Amino acid sequence: MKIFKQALRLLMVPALIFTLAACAGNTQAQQSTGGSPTPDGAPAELTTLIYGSGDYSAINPALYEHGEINSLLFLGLTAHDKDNNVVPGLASEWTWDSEAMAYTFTLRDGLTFHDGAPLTSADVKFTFEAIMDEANGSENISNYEDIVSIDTPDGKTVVFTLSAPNAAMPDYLTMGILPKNLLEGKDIVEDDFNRNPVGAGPYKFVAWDMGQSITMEKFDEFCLGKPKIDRIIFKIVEDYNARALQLKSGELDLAQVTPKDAEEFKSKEDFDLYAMDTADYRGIMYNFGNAFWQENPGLPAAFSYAVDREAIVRSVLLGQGQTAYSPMQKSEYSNSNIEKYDYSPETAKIEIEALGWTMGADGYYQKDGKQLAFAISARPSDQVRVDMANICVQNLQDIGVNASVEINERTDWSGQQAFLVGWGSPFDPDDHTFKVFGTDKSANYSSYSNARVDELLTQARSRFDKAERLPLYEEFQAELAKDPAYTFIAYIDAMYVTRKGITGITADTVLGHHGVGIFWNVWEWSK
Amino acid sequence: MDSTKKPLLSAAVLGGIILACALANILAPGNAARMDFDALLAPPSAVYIFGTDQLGRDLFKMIIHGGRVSIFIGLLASLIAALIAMVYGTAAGLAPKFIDDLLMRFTELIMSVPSILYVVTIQAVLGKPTALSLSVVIGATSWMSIAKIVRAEVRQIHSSEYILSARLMGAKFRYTLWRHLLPNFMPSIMFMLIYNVSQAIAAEATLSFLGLGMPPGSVTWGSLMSLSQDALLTNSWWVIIIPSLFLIITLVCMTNIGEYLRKLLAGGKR
Repeated sequence: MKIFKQALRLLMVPALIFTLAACAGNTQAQQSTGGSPTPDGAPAELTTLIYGSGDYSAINPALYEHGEINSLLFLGLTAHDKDNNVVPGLASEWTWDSEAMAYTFTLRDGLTFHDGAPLTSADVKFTFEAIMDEANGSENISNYEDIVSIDTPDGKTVVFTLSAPNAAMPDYLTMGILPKNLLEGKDIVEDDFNRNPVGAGPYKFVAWDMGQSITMEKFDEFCLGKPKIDRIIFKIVEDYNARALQLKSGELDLAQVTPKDAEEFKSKEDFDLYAMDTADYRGIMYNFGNAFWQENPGLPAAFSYAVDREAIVRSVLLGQGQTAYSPMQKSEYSNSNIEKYDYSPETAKIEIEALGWTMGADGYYQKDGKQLAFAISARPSDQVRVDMANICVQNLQDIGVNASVEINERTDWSGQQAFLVGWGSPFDPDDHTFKVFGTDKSANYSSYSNARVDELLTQARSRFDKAERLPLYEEFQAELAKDPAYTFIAYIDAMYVTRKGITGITADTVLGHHGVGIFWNVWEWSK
Repeated sequence: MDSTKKPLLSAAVLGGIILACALANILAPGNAARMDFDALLAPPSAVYIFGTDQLGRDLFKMIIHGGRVSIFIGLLASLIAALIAMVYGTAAGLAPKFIDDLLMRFTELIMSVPSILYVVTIQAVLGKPTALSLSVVIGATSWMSIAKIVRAEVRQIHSSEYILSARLMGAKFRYTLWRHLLPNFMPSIMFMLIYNVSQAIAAEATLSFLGLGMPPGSVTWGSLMSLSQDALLTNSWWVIIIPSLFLIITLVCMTNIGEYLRKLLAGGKR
């Protein structure tokens, strides 16, 4: 009897805890479905979309190309439609004068920035001169290196004079335009503007709770159409697992999740799953600036045979991806008649031995007393890349290469031997190609240098006719395959999960690097 | 309830686990994190008795290899903590009141901060963590409770006649500690020592789970906890339950044995 009473007393405690927890859980659910409290305490009648986003330290499309949020806050002269074709943005039309080698853009009437200031050609000129100013260290500078001068004969006209024809220029002019009067004379890299951005995009910046969330409100004067959703909040949730959990709990309305978590949402009634094709690929980037590759040329090609891409797509991507052999596989300029380095460990070994390596007693290749060993660096925040790196390492270890993975928070671009890299663009073939693979270009982090590749890319970007560009890009891909800069691994589908009822997402659009691009028509979305 | 019932089951189970971990290289040779792409997320079968995870890694292999690291760290950390505690506690017990007070207040000061904080900070200073450095760090931050008990015990018996006579005959600190004090306070701290082993194993598991312990890529019971968490949203019960089951069983067995030893050795004294 005594024991029974004691047991009863003991049971009261957990029972109490559970009841309290259940009540707390209920109130939390009520709060999140009703719409999160706004910074200014406005009533929750506003439609709000909460997107699970990565973190930002500064928002400025001119300097930093990675940033989904840029497409909400800014607009460029041109824009892309759902098939990634170039369409008018801030500019209503443009012409190309091949004699003068100049593009003339005409801006629409009545354009304004979010703060009401008029958007004129002076702002356009300011934006591109800022990008082209080397002192600002923009990642995008190589895209615009053909621009000789920018003239503004009047407030609505911008003339870009080029040193050579550039077919990709209209694509590059989707760059968000910055307000001159807010940034002129200031240090663009350090200015507070990057924490209080003002643009001409469909949503205007309202508040930024560092590390927590960025709140934006619709911009009624948006030139391409009045947005329907009143407010969009980018909630900073870097961890992919957390995003899945928050989608379920209702704290997020939309987020990109890992293939593993996406499986969960396939069967759920309240959610829509978009498995979107992307031009986003991953690969092993070899740092040719590192002495190891300079002393031992030819290894990247050999290693490319050793990687089991199918297994990677099956295991890490759960089938949501495609094996990669070229940086422009998803483009109409793709060349499939090139060396794809299909998985063949035997060929890899033959190639390595052809370079003069012999198998040592420890099970690894060695040459002149040095072991064939190198490290692939990866950042811990992206588990997909870490897993891919681990699999590549296992593949290489199996054939006698002492490869290893090095996990570093910060990437040592100049010192590292290899890196699990990602790039990709669904737009003009020049995009993410010229600036990545061209010698000394602004996004060439591998110090890759191939004279023929430079020649081909430079020629290809200066032609307009697809019939002329196609053979050049085809040869470029063949050359790149012969002298690999990367060991291409796979293209990754972007898995977006959204709460049922949110419409406007175009499921067939091919997205870009990091799955960016889903917000291309956000002003047409409704909840 | 027969309080002196021998914990045969706990001993057998714990012995089995430790044996399996010690023989890891014989039972499951090769790289613990080896991936088998033809058996992704495979449920337990004849080939993989505990199944595989999302990347085809053998769970049984990872548990026994991981156990080696975790148990090694647990034992070494506990040993270090015990040594520090015994010396410190005895010194405090034998010292004059003022120094004794100082030493004990210092101990309480250190105890007031969660030990995980110390471990993280010290490890950050030391750089890349290894099993040895983690053991040292965990051991150096978990001796406090044991030291207090040692000091109390020593305080109690140091005025006994046999201690006095030993000191009169010229016994030095180390001799007194080893020959007279230790055999007497050992029963009291026995439970704490074994409990400390389980705490150290849990500490390593927590750190590795948080990504602050062994370097990423190493297989320990903590990293397996991480794996389990990742698998929570999948339907693979073997990845979610089995690793934590091993950790829990090990800790429970250790606690049972420690409890038995405490009762056994205390029975003779009190």
